[in-house]
Amino acid sequence: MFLHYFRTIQRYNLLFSVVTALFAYVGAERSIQAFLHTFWLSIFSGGFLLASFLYNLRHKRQYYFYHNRGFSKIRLMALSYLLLVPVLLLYLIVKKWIGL
Amino acid sequence: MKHQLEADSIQKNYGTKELLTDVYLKCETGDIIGLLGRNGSGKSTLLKILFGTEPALNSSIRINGKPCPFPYRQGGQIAYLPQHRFLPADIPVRKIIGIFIADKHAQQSIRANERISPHLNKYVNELSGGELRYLEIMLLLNLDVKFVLMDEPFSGMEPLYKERIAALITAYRTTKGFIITDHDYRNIIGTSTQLLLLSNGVCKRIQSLDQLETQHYLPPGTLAEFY
Repeated sequence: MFLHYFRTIQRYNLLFSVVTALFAYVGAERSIQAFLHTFWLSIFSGGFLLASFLYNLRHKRQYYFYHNRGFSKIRLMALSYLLLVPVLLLYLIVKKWIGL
Repeated sequence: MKHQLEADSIQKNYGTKELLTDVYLKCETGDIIGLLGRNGSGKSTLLKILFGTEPALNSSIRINGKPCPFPYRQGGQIAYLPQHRFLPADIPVRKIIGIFIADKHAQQSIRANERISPHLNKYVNELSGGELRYLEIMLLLNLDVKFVLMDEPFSGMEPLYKERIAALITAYRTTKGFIITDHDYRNIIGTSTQLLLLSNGVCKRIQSLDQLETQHYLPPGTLAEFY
């Protein structure tokens, strides 16, 4: 149930963060490091906030789908944020492994 | 086992307007409480306060005697059918059932329902208003909760669906308590085990149908069909 919310909200987050990171990539003379750094920064800050705002704007009524299973808005957002941490850890491990 | 939902001292203001001044309400397993009231009397707001998603100036909600300010957050206590559609539009009906209902047996029973099975591969946007409302109600009735709050379950339904929904609610009252509000007073009167009229910010128990006319909810003479 929660994963459905996670997927929906992260779709917006991912889109915004990729666009932001592309700007950073171009602005930093095509630096892949700048792309990745901005991407992860956005995923955990502005991208996530904007995704939450957009979800509220576009799918506000859908919250009752989750409320009926005991999930409050705060709980959904907190879980979605926390679930990003293992994804970041995985990225850091891969990054270290391939020596980026 | 019999459960009890009790709410008192519910007060709600919108700006300077006092919408709910001092509401008391009690619902037990087996009850179907029909909540009637004119437009803007606060029926939907009251249901949301009982569910826990609408803040109130003051409220005291208890389930089985235990204080429960946000009943929905506890899970397994209460379900709420909002007036508007609430199912996600990006996944088909079959998947919605799988996500929303935890019990496999209940999932199968909903999927096998004659009015739902033809639509399993459709998205909710492809369903008619009546088909969607029926699906929403079936999902909520199959949740393992003690109480179900329904805001306009009969709205936009064809007569056959209305009959079917009234029968479903009656069938599920053996394990749940219901609070239902709708402008379709005929179906509310026909389905409910007790009637409440929300007027001037308080809930008044309706002992005799005549009171609906004397309290100015229905125009004089409307109730002749019930006698």
